[in-house]
Amino acid sequence: MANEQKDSWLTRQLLRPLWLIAFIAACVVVAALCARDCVNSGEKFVELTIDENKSIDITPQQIRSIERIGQWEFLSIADEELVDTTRRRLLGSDDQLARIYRGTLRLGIDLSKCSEGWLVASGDSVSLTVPGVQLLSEHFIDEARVVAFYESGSWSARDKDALYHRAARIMKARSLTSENYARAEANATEQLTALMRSFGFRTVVVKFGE
Amino acid sequence: MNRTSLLWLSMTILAAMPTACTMHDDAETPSSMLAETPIIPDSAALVMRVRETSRLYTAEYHVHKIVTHRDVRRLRGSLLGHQFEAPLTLGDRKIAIPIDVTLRAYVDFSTFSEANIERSADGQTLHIILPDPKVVVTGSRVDHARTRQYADFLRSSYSDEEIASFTQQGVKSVLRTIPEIGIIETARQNAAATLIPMAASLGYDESQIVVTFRKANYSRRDLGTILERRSRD
Repeated sequence: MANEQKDSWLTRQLLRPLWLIAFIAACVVVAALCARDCVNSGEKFVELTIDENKSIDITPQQIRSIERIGQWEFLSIADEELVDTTRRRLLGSDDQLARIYRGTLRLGIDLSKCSEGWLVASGDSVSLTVPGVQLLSEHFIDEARVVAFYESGSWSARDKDALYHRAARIMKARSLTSENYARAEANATEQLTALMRSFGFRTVVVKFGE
Repeated sequence: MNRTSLLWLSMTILAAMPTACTMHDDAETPSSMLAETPIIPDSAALVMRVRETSRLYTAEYHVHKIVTHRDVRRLRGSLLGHQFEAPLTLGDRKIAIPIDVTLRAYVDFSTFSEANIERSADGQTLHIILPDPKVVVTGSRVDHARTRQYADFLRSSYSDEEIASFTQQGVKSVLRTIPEIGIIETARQNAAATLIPMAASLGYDESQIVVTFRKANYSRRDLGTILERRSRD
């Protein structure tokens, strides 16, 4: 009797690891089947990513003003300027901000400044007296196309505005040269002459005011 | 104080100094308070392209928009082929960027020729056929002073690069509305209002001058033809 009890206990002790092994084997088989499915479907076994929303929200826009203009552009100067600033620290690690600004300066004539009788036709001749070539708009920088080239440290709105104005000054200094004004004027003469000739005038005289 | 103590004291001070400086760097210090140290400006011109044109600008629109962005991080993944997704509640941040965009519409006269003008047999009626107007962004401006951003303590502030990217997206969203805001129609009317008095000065009767454009109506599908392509967009 005692031997039978001992055998039963011994059998249970021997079988227990077998159950455990069988359970683990079953888990391995299930995991292997899942893994095979994953491999077959091209998915990874475990994959974790943190998504960041890079798109802006949908917001309304407002048309602040609509203006009727009459400006004839004869020369456009597309410019890009790298402007940077450094804030010195006492013990190294200076703050730096570098941005690339893009803008297009447009030279031409403003027809709203034409005086009375600026266009006089007589027979097959026509005479045009137009205002001098000028920069057509002071807001020529497209800040939406700024490239934030380098930034370290914290920079205020005033610092960024100062960079914007400096970029505008540099662009004007580089682009509004006497050569470019002369080139715009020459092109204006050529284009206005061609326009008048297409209306049938043989002799065209273009004069520029101040 | 012996030599070893002096050595330890010196090393401690040297180790503490850069830490103090780094903290000062990250603080939200107004630039005016930092003005005691000199600001060294520098600039370099990258590219300049000069082009001869003949464009009659006839309409200018000033568009204002507040570009907003909410940066909520989401944990996304898969486990044994099962997809899951959950928002990460920590580390939210938001920004609002006011921008002003200047749009101008123009008629390109660079290809204008006699082929664009038709006269009646008696020479009294003048018909001017103009190319379709185009629209260009002549300028855009970010209102840095009114830009507001909020970031949880676990998140960094928006970088200059991110703000530039959102601004660019904002302008692109303004451009997508061009067919609906009426700038093309305004440009056509204003072009006619500019050219008819000119033609009248050349001896034609104003009532006998007709200005037409090739296309009557515009929709979103025409956006590619209306909009002047901006370089490097």
